[in-house]
Amino acid sequence: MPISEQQGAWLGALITAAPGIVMQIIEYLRSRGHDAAADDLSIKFASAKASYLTVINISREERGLPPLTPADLADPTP
Amino acid sequence: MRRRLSAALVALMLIATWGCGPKVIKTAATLNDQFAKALVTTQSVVKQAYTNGAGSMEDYLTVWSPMFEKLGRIGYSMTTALEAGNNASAIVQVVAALAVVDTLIAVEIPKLSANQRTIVLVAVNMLKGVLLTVAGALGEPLPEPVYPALEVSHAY
Repeated sequence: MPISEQQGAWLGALITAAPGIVMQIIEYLRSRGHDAAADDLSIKFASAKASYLTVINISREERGLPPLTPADLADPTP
Repeated sequence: MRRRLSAALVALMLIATWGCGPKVIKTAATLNDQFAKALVTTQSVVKQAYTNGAGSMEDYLTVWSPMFEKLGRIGYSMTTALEAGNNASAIVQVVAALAVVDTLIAVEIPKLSANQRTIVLVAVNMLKGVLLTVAGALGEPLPEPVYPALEVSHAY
């Protein structure tokens, strides 16, 4: 897709910026009419988080521990 | 002339960025999603193997179950880091997950009964394969794979 130098510069700045880069790219893709790509990207992140939470909570249930919520996993340190 | 060349070069770099940036992030997102799904499958396969007598359920509950919780937490953190565009942190998570998987392969799998060992080894190596590919998508050089010498069962 041909893009103007200004658009390219803005996108280049987006890609090297942090935090929230993926969310910004999703917004950018939507603003350019690439709704399918934006949906795909956001669905994959939401789906992965849900799957990880499932694994965590099955393991905790097996050991008689209470389930966790996304808020309990907000800290990204390992 | 030189100014035009510089402008063309910058434009080419920006177009290359447009072509590669989102694709790399989409690839990492896809692989991350695959790892999450593979983790759910592996947990189910391993638990089934133990239920079928691969090892003691006490071992499953004291070793594998906490490890799965740990892998889930690491995966969740990896996703959060990727969403934030923090590839360095995502790579730290991938390396931590690889260490957990390698521990399971080297220490726990050899303890299993021969009949169930192959199934569990395949499931865990699938996880490791996706993790190595995530590391590759994030630009991290892939470490040499370390596989313990295991007696492969041909029962299946």
